[in-house]
Amino acid sequence: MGLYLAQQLINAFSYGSILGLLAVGYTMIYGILGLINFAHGEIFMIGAFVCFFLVTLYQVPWVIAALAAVAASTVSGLILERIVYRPCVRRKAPVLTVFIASFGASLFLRFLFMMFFTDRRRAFPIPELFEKMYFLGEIAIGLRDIIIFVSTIIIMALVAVFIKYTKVGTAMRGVSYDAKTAELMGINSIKVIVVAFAVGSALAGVSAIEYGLTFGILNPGMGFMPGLEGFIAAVLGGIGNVPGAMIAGFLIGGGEILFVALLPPSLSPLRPLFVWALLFVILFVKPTGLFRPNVKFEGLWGE
Amino acid sequence: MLLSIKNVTAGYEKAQVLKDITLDVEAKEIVALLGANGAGKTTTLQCIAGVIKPWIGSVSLRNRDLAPFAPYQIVAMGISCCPEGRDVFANLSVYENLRIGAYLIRGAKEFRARLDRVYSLFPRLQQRLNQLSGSLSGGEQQMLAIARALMANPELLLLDEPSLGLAPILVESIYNTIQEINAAGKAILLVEQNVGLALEVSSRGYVLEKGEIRLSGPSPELQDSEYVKASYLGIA
Amino acid sequence: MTSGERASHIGKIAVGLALYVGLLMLMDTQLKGFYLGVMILFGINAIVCLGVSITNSYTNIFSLGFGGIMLIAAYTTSLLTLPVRYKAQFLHLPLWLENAQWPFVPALIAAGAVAVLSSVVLVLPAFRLRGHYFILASIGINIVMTNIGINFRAWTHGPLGVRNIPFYTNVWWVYGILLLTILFIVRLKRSKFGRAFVSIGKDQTLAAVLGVNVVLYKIYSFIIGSFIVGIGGALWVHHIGAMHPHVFELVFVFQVIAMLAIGGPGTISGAILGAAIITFFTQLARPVQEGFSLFGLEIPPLIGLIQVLIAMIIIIVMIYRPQGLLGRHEITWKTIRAAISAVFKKTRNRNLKG
Repeated sequence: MGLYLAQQLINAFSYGSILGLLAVGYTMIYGILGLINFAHGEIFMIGAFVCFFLVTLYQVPWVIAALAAVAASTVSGLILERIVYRPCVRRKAPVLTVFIASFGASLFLRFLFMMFFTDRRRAFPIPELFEKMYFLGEIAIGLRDIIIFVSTIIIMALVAVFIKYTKVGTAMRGVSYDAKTAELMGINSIKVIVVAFAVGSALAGVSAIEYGLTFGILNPGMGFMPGLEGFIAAVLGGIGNVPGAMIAGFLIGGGEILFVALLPPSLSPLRPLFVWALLFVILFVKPTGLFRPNVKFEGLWGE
Repeated sequence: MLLSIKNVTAGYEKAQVLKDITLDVEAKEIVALLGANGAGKTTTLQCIAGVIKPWIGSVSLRNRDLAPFAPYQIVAMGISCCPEGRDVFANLSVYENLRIGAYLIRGAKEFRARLDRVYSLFPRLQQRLNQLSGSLSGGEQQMLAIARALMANPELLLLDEPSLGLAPILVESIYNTIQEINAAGKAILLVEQNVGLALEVSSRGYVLEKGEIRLSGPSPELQDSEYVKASYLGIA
Repeated sequence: MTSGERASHIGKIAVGLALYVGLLMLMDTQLKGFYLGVMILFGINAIVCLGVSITNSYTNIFSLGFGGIMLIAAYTTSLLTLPVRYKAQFLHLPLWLENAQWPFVPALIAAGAVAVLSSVVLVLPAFRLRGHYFILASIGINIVMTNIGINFRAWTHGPLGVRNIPFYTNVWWVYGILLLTILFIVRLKRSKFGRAFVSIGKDQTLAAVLGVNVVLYKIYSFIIGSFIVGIGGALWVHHIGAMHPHVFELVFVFQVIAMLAIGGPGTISGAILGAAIITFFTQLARPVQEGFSLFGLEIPPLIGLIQVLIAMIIIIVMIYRPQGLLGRHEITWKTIRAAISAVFKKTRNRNLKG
């Protein structure tokens, strides 16, 4: 039992990394724009598909394909911002309207890919390098897991430094808190929004690669659940709170894996319920999430 | 003439606030904009800062119409705003607030220089550099808001009710600082409900009532005016 | 009202009702299977839209949980009406439930009641949450319900779902209930309840300050909305004859939201118009999705095309006309007469000129 648990702990770190990156992307955009980018899960999915096609159809070396995938996610996110969100912001659309548009964008992308590529599952390309295993006593640790975890930590550290110490990062936090006053400081909030989308979407791309490596499959609907869970992590971490989202992502991702590990196998289809149960419990006790949100007003619509 | 507002009528959405106002600010002078709550003082500042655009009339900086510019561009042109209510970024430290104020500066030396100037004006802020600005006292937040606006090195500083909610000692200290800032060569458009104070530091003033300019002139004249004395200074 | 006015008023209602009944008879006898099905679906969607609009539009509580509520209502009516033999064979139910063979109306009402109960139980704890947090929790309700449907095999037969649900729904039931719903909402809007809902929708804090018991009325709004929505779900299930845990998933929820958004939230005619547009488009475009030949070109099946188009339409509507097609305007007799006279004026002017 202990061995099984330890093995699952390794998986917990991997899934935690995946969700953590998604959560950070979500919370950046959520904090800055005050809107849930529902299509974030689809940005994630696009990255995975680009990597898949480059490797299987064009025999591109994996590393280059992975980088291209991250770029593809970034570009998709920027296009999404330009076409869907910026017109809404320009017209000072109420949050509800933007929310519905965001929902629409998510379904648009998902069904677009479903239309062209059908919903069947495909195998994500995993280079042999990643299948190498190390053994700690009786526990098998894959090189893949190590790379995923280590690179995630590095990326998160970079993002944290970026947010805290660079001019743009500080501006992002300012705009997140109070966009109007930030404009009075000479900050072009649209540029800052673009940066937030670019960084957040890039993180989603990285997360997608990690997901592909960990689970080995991809399909147009793959972004839905991880996206939702990433969103939950972002909410739990406090809106706009990047470090909070990182921690919450690991908590949820890792927690989910461990939860399933501890349950008798007959109950494992209840896995999604864990995340939602956790969300309900935490929101019940702390309605604004575990950590302090980074926005001035958390309420909406006349509250 | 630094700032010129000509026959401006403006408001929000469908509500008209300002009606045909004309006012100007010369370089290096302090001009007071006075009036009761709801007279339209903040609306005027928002018009200048570019947050709202005039429906009729124009706002010009050195003869350049500000209408086509967004607020962040107007800051770059030399106007800096310290809004009402001390809107500091409460989630950021004092230093980070100042950093954001200096967003448009390129170059560490220039940034350093302005930082030093701000420290000399507000030594208290230098002591609390890493403190979260949300935890500062009201007076300190006001200092931070002004300091932050100064970091953009404006030619014209818009101050909206700097004395609001502050104890008299702090108000005095802030007003001394305002005069120091002006002595260093910056023009200031000072919006105040505290008429007496405002007229003491300013060289000229305008009295706004229900969106219209009721009175204007050199400050000593306004101080002596029967109308001002009766309506605003409580002297019969 | 004078007795003369009352007589003419009753006369108008009688004529209107006769026309309505006549229309229904026409539908029932003249329409073929597929088109009849489309009309029935339209009616059901209209009912669901109206139910959702009470909570989401009038009271401005943007809840996405009605999918889960409809699911549980649909299962309720299924379990109460399925043939005993089917239940005995595929499910493991307590004896009273297994032998239950309820007639249509009680089953409908039971579905509505269960919908109300579950919405109160599930939504109440979420009331502390604001804005986006609440939306998130409401999405969760959907997912949790679907998950329960998948896993609670003894009662739901898992992901395969249940079949052989009696085909009780027909044009008369659907459009009768639709009419009742419309009339109910019209009265609701004028009543104390309705005004309380709208005031909460516009500004919660203000409503509270003015003496409205915000929490209580929110609960009322949920109760009324859920009841209607639950009935809609039950009607659906008795029309299709089968169901499974994924029928009212997030994609469906989005379609309903799309209907409201396109038609215009906050109005009865908006809800119905939106339901009409989306339902007709979805159903009539279905053959396109399955592939067809155009001028000798073989166009392959493009499953998902309909969703893509709907999503695109929604995005465009949200950007360029966020208040929906009808905005805040209801289509009443006045507007119809005004429109007709405007058309007559135009043709008269054209005849005079030409």
